[in-house]
Amino acid sequence: MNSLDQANVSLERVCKAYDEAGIRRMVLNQLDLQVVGGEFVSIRGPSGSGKSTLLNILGGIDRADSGRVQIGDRNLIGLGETERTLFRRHHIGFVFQFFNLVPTLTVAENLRLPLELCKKHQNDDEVRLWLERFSLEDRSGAYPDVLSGGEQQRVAIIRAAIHRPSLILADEPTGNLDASVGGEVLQLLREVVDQGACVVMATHSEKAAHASDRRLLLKDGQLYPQSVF
Amino acid sequence: MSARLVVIALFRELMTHPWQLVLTLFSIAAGVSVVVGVDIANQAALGEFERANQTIDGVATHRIVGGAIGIDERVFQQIKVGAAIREAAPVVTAEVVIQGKSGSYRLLGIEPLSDFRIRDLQLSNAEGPEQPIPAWPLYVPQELYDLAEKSLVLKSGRHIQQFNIAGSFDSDRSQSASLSRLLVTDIAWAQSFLKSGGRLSHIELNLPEGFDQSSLRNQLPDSVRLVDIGLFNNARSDMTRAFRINLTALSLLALVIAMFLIYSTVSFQVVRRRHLFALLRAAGVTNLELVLILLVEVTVLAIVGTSVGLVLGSLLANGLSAMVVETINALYYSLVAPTHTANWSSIVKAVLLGITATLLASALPIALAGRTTVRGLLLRSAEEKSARQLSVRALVPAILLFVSGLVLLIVPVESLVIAFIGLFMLIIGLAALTPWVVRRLCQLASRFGGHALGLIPKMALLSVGAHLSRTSIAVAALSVAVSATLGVGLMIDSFRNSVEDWLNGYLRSDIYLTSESVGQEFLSPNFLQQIQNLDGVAYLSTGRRQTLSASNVPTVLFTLQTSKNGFAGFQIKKSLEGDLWKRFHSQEQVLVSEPLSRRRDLAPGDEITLPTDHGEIDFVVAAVYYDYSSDQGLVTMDRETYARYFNDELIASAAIKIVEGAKVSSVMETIPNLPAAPRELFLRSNQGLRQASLEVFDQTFRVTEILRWLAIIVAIVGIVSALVALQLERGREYAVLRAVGFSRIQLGVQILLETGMTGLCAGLMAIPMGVALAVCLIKVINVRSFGWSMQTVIDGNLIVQAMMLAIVAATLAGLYPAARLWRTEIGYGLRND
Repeated sequence: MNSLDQANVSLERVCKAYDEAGIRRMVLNQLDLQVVGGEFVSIRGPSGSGKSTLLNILGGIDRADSGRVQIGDRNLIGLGETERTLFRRHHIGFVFQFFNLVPTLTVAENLRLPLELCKKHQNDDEVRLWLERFSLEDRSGAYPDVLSGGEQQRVAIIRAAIHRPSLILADEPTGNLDASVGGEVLQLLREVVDQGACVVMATHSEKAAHASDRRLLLKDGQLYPQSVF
Repeated sequence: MSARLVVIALFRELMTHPWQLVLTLFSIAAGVSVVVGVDIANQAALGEFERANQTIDGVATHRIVGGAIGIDERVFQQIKVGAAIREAAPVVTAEVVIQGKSGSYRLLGIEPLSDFRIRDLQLSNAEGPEQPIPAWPLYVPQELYDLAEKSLVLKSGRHIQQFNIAGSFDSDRSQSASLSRLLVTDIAWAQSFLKSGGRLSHIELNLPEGFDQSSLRNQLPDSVRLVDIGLFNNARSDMTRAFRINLTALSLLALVIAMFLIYSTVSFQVVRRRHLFALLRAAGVTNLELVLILLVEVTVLAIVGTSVGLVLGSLLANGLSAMVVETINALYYSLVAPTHTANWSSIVKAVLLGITATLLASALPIALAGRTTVRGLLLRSAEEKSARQLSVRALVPAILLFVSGLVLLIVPVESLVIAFIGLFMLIIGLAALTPWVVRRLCQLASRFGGHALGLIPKMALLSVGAHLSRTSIAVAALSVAVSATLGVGLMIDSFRNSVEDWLNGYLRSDIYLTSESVGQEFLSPNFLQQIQNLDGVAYLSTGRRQTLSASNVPTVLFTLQTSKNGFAGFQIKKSLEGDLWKRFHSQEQVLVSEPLSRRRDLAPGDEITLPTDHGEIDFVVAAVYYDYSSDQGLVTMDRETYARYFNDELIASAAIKIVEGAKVSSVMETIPNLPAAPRELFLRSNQGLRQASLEVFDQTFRVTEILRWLAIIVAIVGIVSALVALQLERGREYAVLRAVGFSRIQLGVQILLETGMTGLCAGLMAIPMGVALAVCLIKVINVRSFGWSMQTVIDGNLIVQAMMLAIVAATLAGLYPAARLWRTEIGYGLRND
């Protein structure tokens, strides 16, 4: 396995607000964040604090109202929907709380999907190596609905990493798993980081946050180092 | 884009709900099949008409025709010698029946030495070309010849004769079904058989381009006329134009309903796969890529659905062709049902229509899927929000469409196509309002009746409004279909009512008799006198209906001899001032029926030119009267006027008024036994004729009824599947309700209430739509199509039936999900989201 591409992530004065029942709610307010290549950052915060919004903005799913979202040499703020999608396709990997594997593709096909979209050479050996490394070699032809939660999340992590993105975004990756399986998942994320990618993980779990290199707290639309509180 | 796995993912997802896929294909196939069926049937009837004309008329360009008793055969000599026209052929023709065989045939008496210049029937002698031809020779179509019968007995009116089969002609050559009903003999034998020695039915001519027709006309006696066959046949073909346009419009209505269903099913496929789209979009699939894949998917579905529709349409066409021909026979002219139906133009039209309609109907849901953000795709609430927004945004275009449609219907142009475009805009405009109306209705009902109704009905009401993204289009489609059935039903009902009223006023006599069946046999003056002398007969009216060619346009002339009392049966729409009876009876003025007045733009005081035996004469129109017997219209002339201009004393029908107190049945029994009674006589009582007239009326609407029911079936399948899909998709929601304490019965009731209320909403929308449709059909479409004006009758029963249809169809849709939930364990339901 080759090392993942490295890139710095930089958010400057990012603002995002939503209209909810006629009331404008500021979710991210002049938020700043710097993540360097190969760093594992965790973000904690209460429900509704904007963790998922922040991840969506980093992944180009949502658009910030203002500020600067720089990943490597690209500022996502200036990109249109299609450009952000193409950027996401090549440079971002997502891991969701509810796994979100494509239910109509087998495990191996789910893993080949990002490679195919990036037009990267689909090496079956590479897919097999990833599966072996994550102890999934015998699940290659299975559909997601027959996998356990832990297995699904492991597949999701490989899918997020297999095309070697600069940044992996993990939204509550252990939220739906028991403690021991959650621990395994965090260990795997660490392995991905060791390959050189940045990982930004949103989590409620203090234990999960402890697995990261740097812990941040999202409160009132801004990020604070965990040690401040 | 390399999207093999994306395509596989979407395809497998599609295949996880095969019945939805089948429904999408059914919607496309159903719409296409109705259009194809009607188009093939129309084309087949029209094609048969043209083929029959081409074969039987041959290369003839003109025809010399006479009055009621044909033309003197010396005219033929005069043409051949005097006018030096080489390509001329005399013809004696009559409709005949073959004893022991069903249906009627056309007997064509020709002079072989002249006829070969006009038509190429390829007669072949059974005994070989050198053998003598038997007496009473008859050449029959190949299929009849193959039965190996030696002779056939032909009947035409009172004439009966055994003909010997002399040979056959190739009836497959022109692919015309009419040739299979043609019998050919020598002209002299035909004259002997019909007892019309020295007379011809007509003479056919092939006049070269630039031929001096006026010179020929000057040489002809006043009693005969030169007719352009092309123009005459075009005018005959035009008779059925409105009928064919109406059928096409009804088939297009079925396609519009199918388009709603395609929209509905494609929307459902899109909505159901939003989560998958979101996953793919999150993985980096762009909107454009997603839209392109969905377009390819829909195009493949369109091709498959259209292909299935073509096959179904061909099958449907077989049944429809016979019915269309039956209606044309009843209303316009005699035609033989063609045995072959498929034609390339119908297939190409259907393929284009099927694919275009599918792509058009799918465009919006696909575009919406492409425009939605990943975040929006992941939120079910966002999907319902966008459905609500769409229903509001559709309000202005819907109203604009409705108003534009109304304007097109109101503008005083005669175009039927514009009227139908207006009608379709009206329907689509109203249908587009449906989602908004349904939501508002449910909101209002739950707000004002929620407490009184109780929890379950209130939940059901709110649920209907809350799932508009899944159901609104299916509800709109059901509304359109139910309104179509209501509108067409009200129109037929109003029409029938008007015809009944008209018959009540028009049929004032007690007994009606005619000698006409196949062939021409007339009522002799002697026979009529014997009737007049019968006890119990008050007075006798006589009539004769014949088609004249006025300026190459077929015009029906009805000659009437009646008393002032009998004349009072005419229901006058507009007339000149003064005593109308006097104008009609003694001033040589004529009456024209309402359809003819519309077609020729004739008003009282105008003149109509009729070809008489004394040349073309202008007659003043004294009045326009209501008449539903022919959509081509007719001119009614007093018998005395007719006698002055036509050398024809024949009478074909009579109406007898019985004195008060006399028995109709006993007079009816006596008449056939009178000494001068013809061999075959058709007698009908007032009631019998009324009944027979209404049966013809009902028969002419059989095709309409079938198309109407096809549209309903398409819509019912649509609403049932949309609602079943929605209910099944909500399995987890229902499992949660069961988990918090809902009993199976309560849940079943809620599901049935919900689907029933959806039907109720569709029904409520369908009523104003249906009434509007009926008014348009009665006041605009029918008037422009057939020239008939009629009163609008709104029958409450039809409205109740339409409402019940919508409610029952939708409630039925709830049965399967309710039964399935009954069997499902709560735990299973909760696990299987």
